Amino acid sequence: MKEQTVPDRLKISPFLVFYLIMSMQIGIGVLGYQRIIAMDAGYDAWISILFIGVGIHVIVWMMYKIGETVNGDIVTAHKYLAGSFFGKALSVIFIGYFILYSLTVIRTFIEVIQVWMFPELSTFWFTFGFLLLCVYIIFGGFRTVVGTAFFGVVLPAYLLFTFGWAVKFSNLSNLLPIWDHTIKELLTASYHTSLTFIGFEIILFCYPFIKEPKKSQKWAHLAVLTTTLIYTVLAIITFSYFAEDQLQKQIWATLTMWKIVEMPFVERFEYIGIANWNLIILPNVCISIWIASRLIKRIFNIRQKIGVFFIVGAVLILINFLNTREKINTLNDYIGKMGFAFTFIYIPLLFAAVKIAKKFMQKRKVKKQ
Amino acid sequence: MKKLAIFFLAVLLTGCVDKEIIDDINIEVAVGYDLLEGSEDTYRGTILFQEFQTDKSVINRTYSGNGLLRKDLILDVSKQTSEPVVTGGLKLAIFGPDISEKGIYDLVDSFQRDASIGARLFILTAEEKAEEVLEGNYGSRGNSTYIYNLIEHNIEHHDIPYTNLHLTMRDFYQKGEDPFFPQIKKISNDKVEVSGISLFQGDKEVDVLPVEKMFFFKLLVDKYSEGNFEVKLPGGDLAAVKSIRSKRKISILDKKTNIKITIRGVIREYTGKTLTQEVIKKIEKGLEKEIERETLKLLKKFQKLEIDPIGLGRMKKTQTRNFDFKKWEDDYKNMDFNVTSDVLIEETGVIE
Amino acid sequence: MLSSLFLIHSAKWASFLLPSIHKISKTGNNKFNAENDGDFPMKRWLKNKRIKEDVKHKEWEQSFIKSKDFKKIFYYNQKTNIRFCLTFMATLVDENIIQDGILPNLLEDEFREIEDIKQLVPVADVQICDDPSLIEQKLMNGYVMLTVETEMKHFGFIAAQKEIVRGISQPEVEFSVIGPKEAFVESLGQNLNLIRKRLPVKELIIEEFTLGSLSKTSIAMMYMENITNEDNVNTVRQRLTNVKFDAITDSSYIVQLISDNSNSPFPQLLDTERPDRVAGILAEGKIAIVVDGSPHVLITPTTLVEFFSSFEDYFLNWLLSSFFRLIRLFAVAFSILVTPIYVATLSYHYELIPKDLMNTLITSRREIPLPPILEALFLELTIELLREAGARLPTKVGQTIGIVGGIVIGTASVEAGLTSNVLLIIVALAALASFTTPVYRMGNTIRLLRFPFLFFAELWGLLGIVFCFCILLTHLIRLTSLGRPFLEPLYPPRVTDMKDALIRLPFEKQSKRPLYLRTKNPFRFSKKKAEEKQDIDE
Repeated sequence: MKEQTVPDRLKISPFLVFYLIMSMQIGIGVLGYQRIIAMDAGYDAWISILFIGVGIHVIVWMMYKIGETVNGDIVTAHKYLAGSFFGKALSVIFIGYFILYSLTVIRTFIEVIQVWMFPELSTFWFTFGFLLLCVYIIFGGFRTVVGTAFFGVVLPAYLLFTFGWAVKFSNLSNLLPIWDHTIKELLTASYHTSLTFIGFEIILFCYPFIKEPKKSQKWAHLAVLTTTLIYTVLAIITFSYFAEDQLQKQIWATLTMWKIVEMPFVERFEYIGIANWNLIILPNVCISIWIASRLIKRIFNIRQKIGVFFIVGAVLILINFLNTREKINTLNDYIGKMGFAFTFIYIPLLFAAVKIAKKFMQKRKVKKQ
Repeated sequence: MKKLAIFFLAVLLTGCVDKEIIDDINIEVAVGYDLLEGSEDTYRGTILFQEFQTDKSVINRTYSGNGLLRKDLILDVSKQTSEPVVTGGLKLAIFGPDISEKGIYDLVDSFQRDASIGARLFILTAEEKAEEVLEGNYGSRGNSTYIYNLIEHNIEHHDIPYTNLHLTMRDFYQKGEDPFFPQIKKISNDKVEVSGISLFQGDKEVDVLPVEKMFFFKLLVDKYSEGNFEVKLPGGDLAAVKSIRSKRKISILDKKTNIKITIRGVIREYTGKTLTQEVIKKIEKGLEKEIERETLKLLKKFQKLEIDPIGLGRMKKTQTRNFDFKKWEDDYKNMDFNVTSDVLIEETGVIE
Repeated sequence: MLSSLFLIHSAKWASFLLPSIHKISKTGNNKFNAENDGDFPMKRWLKNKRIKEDVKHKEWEQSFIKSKDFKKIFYYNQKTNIRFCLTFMATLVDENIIQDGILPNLLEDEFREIEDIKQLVPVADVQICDDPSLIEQKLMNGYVMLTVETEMKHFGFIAAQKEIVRGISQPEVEFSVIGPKEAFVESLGQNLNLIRKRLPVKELIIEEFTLGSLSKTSIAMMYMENITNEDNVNTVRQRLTNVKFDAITDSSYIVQLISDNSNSPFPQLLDTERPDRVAGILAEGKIAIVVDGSPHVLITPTTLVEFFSSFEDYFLNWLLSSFFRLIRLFAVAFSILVTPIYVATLSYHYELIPKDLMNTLITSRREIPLPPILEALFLELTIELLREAGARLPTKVGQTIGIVGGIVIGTASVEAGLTSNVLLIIVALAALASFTTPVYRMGNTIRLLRFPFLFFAELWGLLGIVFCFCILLTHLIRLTSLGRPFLEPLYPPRVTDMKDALIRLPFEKQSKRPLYLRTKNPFRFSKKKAEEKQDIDE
């Protein structure tokens, strides 16, 4: 197949998949997921995170199996199943999905800035600057995108320690009694975590760009494990820091926890944290735009550069319509649901379909022989 | 290159956000609220600013205004100040006695809603009007810093239990726990002192604990604490004990609550002749008895006032599945308490 | 320095060489009129014919004749009476060689045909060829051309270059307290000598190129045949041969002409004036480019971290050098970020300032009419001015400027209420920190980087600083040196190369050559032997 010939020098080492997935998963969701999951499962919600963590491992395994079977990305898988035309048509949906995803990430981040730092920040101009930077990154190729992802994980890692200040004012007994909710409530909470967790599905799109994909699988699992642990620990700290009713009022619980941080040279930390979040958001947006533009290239045979400009233009126009908390929230919900549907419903279906198709083809081969 | 220049120019012209240049703003460092005289819901607020002189001395400036909301106050005060008022430096919020009794939730909630206010803000009650307290001239580093440091070191080393905006809000929202605030009192134009602990039911003040009871209060409320206490021995001698570490263990049964308090302390002062092992034992025993008696008194008082600053309800909740707070409220009224304490004097200073 | 030497030299030439040979010679732009010639008409006729031939042949001489230093002198051998001619550029050849090494033998010994010079002339580099197109190049390279009247088609070339070389001095830019004190000079041969004597193995290959349509600069590319990656060598060779430029007067030209991205403020080739450093990197498997006339040797491929490692790091214990490297790293970050952070905090984020520091900051700014950004720009530009002025002035005046600028302007501007004293301290510290970069070129880059950061700090406060940092990071990720990632070993992360990056581990741990160079022989020495464990008292 023509599209499978990604030259070796453009591929990334298997262990970089770890950073790729982690940077894509950790984004805006982590700023305020605690409230949403606690709505359903109360302070047992951290168990829900572990649930979904386990679920994601299964999905990651399935994605690698799909990639392995068709030896390519999701477009190849679709073609494998539905032929060239329908396969491409099916893949078009994901262009929209990733454009919306990048839109959500940028807009929510700008909302955070507007609420916490600069109420007068111009949405359009900040998006413009941000996307210009993204274009610069994406034009550097996949390796540059992954490089941003790498630094987007490594450099802000120190932020984890800043939650240590909150520990001093927290009450671990808040979590007790453990398992005070029904399984159904816990699972609902798991479902609501999806916005925080989605992002790992990019493996299906980057698969041809990974050197020795088989080796990268363990890194993918490790990445998912790490994010799950980070989310769980952060949720536990948050739950023990806030009273349950208090947490329900915090739109961005993670940021509110930074308010307690006090260092000899810095009185308040949330401003530094939010500024740093820029570095965490960057790979999110870049990777999703890269994937969307790559899909455009694969499906419509347009040069990727043109695709990038098209996507950036679309985001730049669409972002102006999202001007209230209400709309942003709706978009967040929507993208969370889409992500959930894609990762937990569509991928298993695709997996089953690919497996069946493979069996079928093998049989046909045998018959022919 | 040209494109880049145009981009920079465009961003500079359109992308700029409002500046808050440090010397062109009035940073609100403390705020006081009282009820406007003769009014039911309008309050009178006082905002304290610091004006730094070139010789590094600080002039305290207060501005007062009236309003129904906190923003009203800032609007009102902005009419009088030479520079825009910003709230990010707020360190203290002081409530006068009348407003504390009426309820302070709305005002405290607005602190939490304001993204620029930190979580380490101290909320205090005052024995007199908050406006009066803020209008004094305490210390050389400004009123706000003076009172803030006063409270902070009393929390760290003495008898005020841990408190700040975050902990207060947590107590507000936590079912089965009521907040409390340190109370201060202006004793002269250049001095304030800690005068007790305001006990709240929900967001209303119901009682004030005197300074003498604060040591026992802290023992009950804080998981670990430091504090100072004087023991009067049967012979009339006095011993000052400083608790280095203290621990409390609470187990709540259906009808009875057992509280065990363990203290590790040192003797700071002793008025008697020699500090023999026997005397130390006596001091320990005396302190134990005192603690048991006083804490029990406090617990009974809380019960009578129907408040729960220790958070017994919260603790009970963590031990029970499907906890019912309604039932707990009845249980609490009829709860029996049993306090035991264990004091161990580890050191007696450098001389014997 | 150079010109004064030359002056002394030409004076010597005038007083010493000219009188001694003027009787038997005429300079090239005079008519040929040999004094001993004229006995027979036949000979005269032959002579005339010969002159005509000469004129015909020597069209290449036309432009040479216009230069005063072009000499063409005829001699007669005493034994065979053969007439021969020496042609040379007086400014390029060493007249002592002609006088002591060439002329006596040619005049006194039996000299019959041009081949004889190989026996007669005691000079190592003697060539005979019959391609007239070489004449110009050889003459300009300081060769003396010898022609014999009987063999006009053959040209003998005798090397007699005048080497005016500055003595080897201490390194000035990359000075180190410990370690060798030799530095490169402006001569290619001398520089190659300095390197080669440190690596006396046959595997050290020197390839020579001549670049520059006017300057004809000799450039040597050096690498270890058994270590250096073939692709890298080919890339450098390719890039060097592709260079199109008229006058290459320094290695800096080469840096700009062959680097991967010439629009980047970051230097992508490391330059050094230390022969020991060059020897070190050659052994690692990198490539060195030596340019004639430049005391700076280029090293490629290189990485960002290399610009922050001083060669002195290798002379110190690994603990010390790691510590110094980390300090340098901190200094660079500090130097770039501190003024932008000041601007961002004071313009936007007063909440961050500790309450104890508030007093100091506000009182220092109380009287200042300028907003923080202008205040910072004013001071930063003042410091840049001082640096520029100091760099252009003679050393002694430069020092004075530094003191005058630092003390007088700084204090005065604080007193006049133009800048705050806190900022003055910050800017001065930042300037100091920027001097810690061991490679001068990188120091310049850091000076420049501060300004975009300031711009973004003014625009979006701390967020702007992070945003600008993201741009810088992307730029660095995209940047390559010789096609190898510039950020290596940070990205792509190579744990094995980290041993000599931000910190330096002991030599025993460095048994492997850097991974990113993809060397033919990745092992420096046997790791096993180096790590053999010894028991107590063994």
